[in-house]
Formats: sequence, structure tokens, C-alpha cells
Amino acid sequence: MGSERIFAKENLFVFRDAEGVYAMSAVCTHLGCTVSRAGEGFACPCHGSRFGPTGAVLGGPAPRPLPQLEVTRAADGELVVLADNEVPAGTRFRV
Amino acid sequence: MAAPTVPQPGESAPREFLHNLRRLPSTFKGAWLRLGKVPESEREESQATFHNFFLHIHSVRVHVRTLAPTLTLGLGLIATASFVLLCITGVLLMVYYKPSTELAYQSMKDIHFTVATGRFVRNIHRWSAHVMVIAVFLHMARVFFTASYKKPREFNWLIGLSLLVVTLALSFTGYLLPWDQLAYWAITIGSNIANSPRELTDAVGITGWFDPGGFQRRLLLGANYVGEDALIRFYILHVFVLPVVLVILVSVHFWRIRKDGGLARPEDSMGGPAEWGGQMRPVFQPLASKTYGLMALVRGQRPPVNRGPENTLMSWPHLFWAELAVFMLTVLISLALSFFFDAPLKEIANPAIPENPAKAPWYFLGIQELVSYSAFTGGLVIPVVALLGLALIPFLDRRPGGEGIWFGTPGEGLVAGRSALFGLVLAVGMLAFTVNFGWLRSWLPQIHQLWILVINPGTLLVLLYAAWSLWILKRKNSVRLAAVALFTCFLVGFAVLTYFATVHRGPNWEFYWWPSQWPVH
Repeated sequence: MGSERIFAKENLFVFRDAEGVYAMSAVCTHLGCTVSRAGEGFACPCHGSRFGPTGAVLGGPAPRPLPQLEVTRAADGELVVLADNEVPAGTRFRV
Repeated sequence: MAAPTVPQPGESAPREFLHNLRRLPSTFKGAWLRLGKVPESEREESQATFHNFFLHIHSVRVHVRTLAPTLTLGLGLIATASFVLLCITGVLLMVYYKPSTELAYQSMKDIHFTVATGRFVRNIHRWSAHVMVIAVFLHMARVFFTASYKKPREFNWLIGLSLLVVTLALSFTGYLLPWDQLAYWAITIGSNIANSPRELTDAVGITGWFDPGGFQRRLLLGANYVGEDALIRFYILHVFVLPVVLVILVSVHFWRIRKDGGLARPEDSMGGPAEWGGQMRPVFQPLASKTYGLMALVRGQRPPVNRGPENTLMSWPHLFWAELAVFMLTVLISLALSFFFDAPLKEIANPAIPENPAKAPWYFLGIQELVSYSAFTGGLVIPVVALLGLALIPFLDRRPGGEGIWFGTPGEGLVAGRSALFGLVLAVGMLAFTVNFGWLRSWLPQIHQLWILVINPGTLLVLLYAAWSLWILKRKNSVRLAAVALFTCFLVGFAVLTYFATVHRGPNWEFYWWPSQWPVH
């Protein structure tokens, strides 16, 4: 089980699964178009890169996986995504 | 005969004033046109040419081969004429266009719907741009297939290549300005292609201290994101820097045509004596650098020099009529297109989500297909290698022969035909393979990016084309024919990629037989 939320303006996805919350960039690592859901994973509309559910490259020209971004809690208790900080895939923020 | 301009001595100043006032139209005409009348003799036609600022870049006489429409097809002139149209309409558009991310799109809408004739002016600007790009491409092909780049025209070939690059840069910077979806995502992709050396520096792990990609991207955008700074930079490039560079390069291009002895053409037959003045006289050969006075230009008034006597015609009126006709034809084509077809304007730029598919204008779609294999090799390496290859042609192919004749080298037509077939089959085969079986990343998801950088459908195509050209070089024992093979392959490959990306690429850059089969979102 898990849930997913798209932040279109910020170009990122936030997911929640049994282990915690994590965020992933929606900016294709190829040439910067915004990826969208395609089946289980993600697809880029500009040059056809394919990514798996966790952002791993499955096909197309993208050189790197979609980066996972740091999730943390602000002083006021709100969850924030630090879009400039990449974290290793599989990192979870426990809530 | 005109009346004497100077009044007689003793006439009063008021009379002189009235006299001059009455004669104002004719004195003005004389001051303006210098000759003051339609030239009637070849001497006056010569004067008409070199006494006029706009005409004096032409030679007074022009070779009959140069005038033949089938030699040049008027392509260079069509490109020039569309550039003139672009300058005029561009200045008009600048009156209403506002280079700001907040206002640009709205000002485009204003031009389209509110400004009187705004839509028509913008249409002309858009269609002339397409005409110019097509004409520049075809002009290059014409010069190549008539071997017109050969000595002494090597440098002008290089100027021509620079003009091709500037023309494409003008198109690219131009379609960013409306700040619609096409604009925003094109500038995003374009700046990331500038950033793409990172694909290599990342792959070998040196981006931390050597990052030319990041530098290029920041230079283009003026920031780390696509916004106001980027728009202003592209605006300045489009309306000032690139047009000025283009005008300078075109001036040099034209000047070099004169200095290199006019358009390339076969040597005139020197043969034996030529007829002149009713007698046969020996043909003498002038020094290459000699400058001729007016007496040497006028028919029947000079000894035959370096040629049979009459294979040139007066530029006035023959060349000027031809140029005027081509110019008018270009204007007609642009106006007709603009009348019937509106220039596209997509939705306002949305940084959250690109169109699907997000396609570049047609002349960049071939590169977009290459980029869909690898950003760095497809977007930078292959285009730069292709340009360098083109630049080297006149320096590697130095054997005279075939200048100014379509497919003029013996065996050239056959090599060009076979190369076109080879290039076509290979490009189609490569695309069919890639569509059906994917590429390295689909088979080995963990593969190192360096492999994809080096081995992808784009690089394979280039290498196979190069191998074909080397084989022709060895088999036909001719540098020119090897160049013909390579150039033809690249031309056909470019056309196939452009067609394929235009018609057969759909949402998520997937293959579809026809756009009508695209899934509805």
C-alpha cells in the first residue's frame, strides 16, 4: 500500500509507503522535461526516456535515475522537500 | 537636351532662385540617379551599375553561365530576399512585442488579434524564416553538387557554413520569444543540450572540477533556471547580435564572390584566335590580378581577353532583371503562405508540464531524434562533427574539375545515386531496429552511460556513412567522389530522421504510423 502526490509547480512527486515518506524529482535527467505517469513507472514526453516505479532508468536516453530528494520536517512541524538536496535511492523519512 | 543650369551673368538673384526652383525635379533626379536617365548604351549601362551604391557590388558584365537559372536556382538570392523580409517584418513586430516572461505571450496575442495587420506581419515573419532555412540548406547542396567550393572559393564555403549556423541560431532564438509551450520547452531542452557535456563529465566523474556544460548553460540562461534573464538574452541575440553578424557575414560572402572571380563555372575554351572587329585575332591571357578599365568592358571595343569574345552579358539589364524576378518570387511565396496559413502559437508557457509530444520545428527534428539516443553525442558531438566535416571538404578535395556543373565530376551522378540509396536504407534500417528492439539501456539497464554515449544509433549511422565514403575513396580513387558519397548520405540521413520524427514520433516519443493513431489524453 502507498500513496502518491504530485506537486506540479515544483516538478516533484511525494510518496508514502509502509516505511515512510520520500520525494522524487519529476525532471527528466536527460534534458529537463517533466515526466509523467506511464503504467507502473514514468515516461518523458520529449525524448522517450522510461523510468521504473523508483525512478531507475529502464530505457531511452536518460543517463541517470530520477533523483530522490531530501524530506525533512520544518520547525513548525510541516514536512518539507529540499528540492536541491539529492539523497540515495531508498531513503525514507519516518513519520 | 537640358537647358543650361547656370543662369546667365547679370541675372538677378530672385530670377536665379525661381529658375533653380523650376528645375528642382530634374536637378534632384540628376543628383540622385547620377546618370539621370535610363541607360541607352553599354557604356551607360556600365555606369548605371557602378555608380549606384546598391548595384556596384555586381560586376558590370556577367557570364552567361552565371545567368542560367539552372545553375544556381536562385537559392542564395532567395535566402537573401527572405532575410530582407525578415528584417522589415521583424522591426514591425518589435514595435508591439514585449520581451518579458509576464508580458511576452500577451503581446503575441495582441499582435495576432488586435494590432492592425499584426497577424499578417507575424505570418510573413514566420514563413519567411522557413523559406530562408530551406533556401540556405538547398543553397549549400547546390554549391556542393556543382563543386563550387573548390579553389579559390574555399573560404567562401566556410563563410557559407557560418551563415547556415547563424540562420539556424536566428530561428532557434526566434521561436523562443512568444513564450508559449514550444518556446519554454525548447529553451529548456536547448539549454540542457548546452549542459550535456555533463553526460560525459558525469560518466567519468570529473564534473566537480571540470564542468563546461554547466558553464555553457549558465551563459545561455543567465541563471540556473529558465526565466526572465534567459528570455532577454535570447531576445538580444535574435534582434541585434545575430542579425548584425549575419549582415557582416553576408557582405563578406558577396564580396568574396566578386573577388573569387564570380560564380564557379568551367573554364572558357581558350582555343585559337577569336573574332574581333571583323578579324580573327589572337586571344591573349591577362594577369590574374589585373584590373580592367571601362574600355575593356564594352562590347566590340576591346581585344578578346582570356576567352572567346562574347560569353558575358551586361549586368544591366540581364542580371538585375533576373535578381528582381527571384526577389519578387520570394516575396510572392511568403505573402501567399502568410495569407493562407497562420503562424502557430501554442498555449502559454507552463513550466509544470510540457506538451506531449514536445516537438521542435521541422529543421531541428532530425537532431531531436538523435538527442533521443544521447543528449551529448546527438545534440553536440554529431552536429559539430558534421559541421567540421563540411568545413574540411574544400581543403581535402583540391583537384580542379567539374566546377559550376551539376554532378560534373565523371561518375558523380552514379555515386550520388548509390549513396542516396545506401543512406536511405541504412537510416530506415537503423530506425526500424531501434523502434522494434530498443537500445543498450533497454537490454542492460545497469550499463555504464559511457557505452551509450559512444555506441548509439546516431554514432553507428555516422560511422557507417564514413565507412561507405572511405570505401568509395578507395574504389573510385577520387576524393571528390568520396565527399559526394558522404555528403549525399548525410543529406539523406538528415531528411529521413526529420521525416521520421515529424510523422512517426508521438506521445512519449513512441513510434506511431500516423499522428491520427496517437492516444487521446
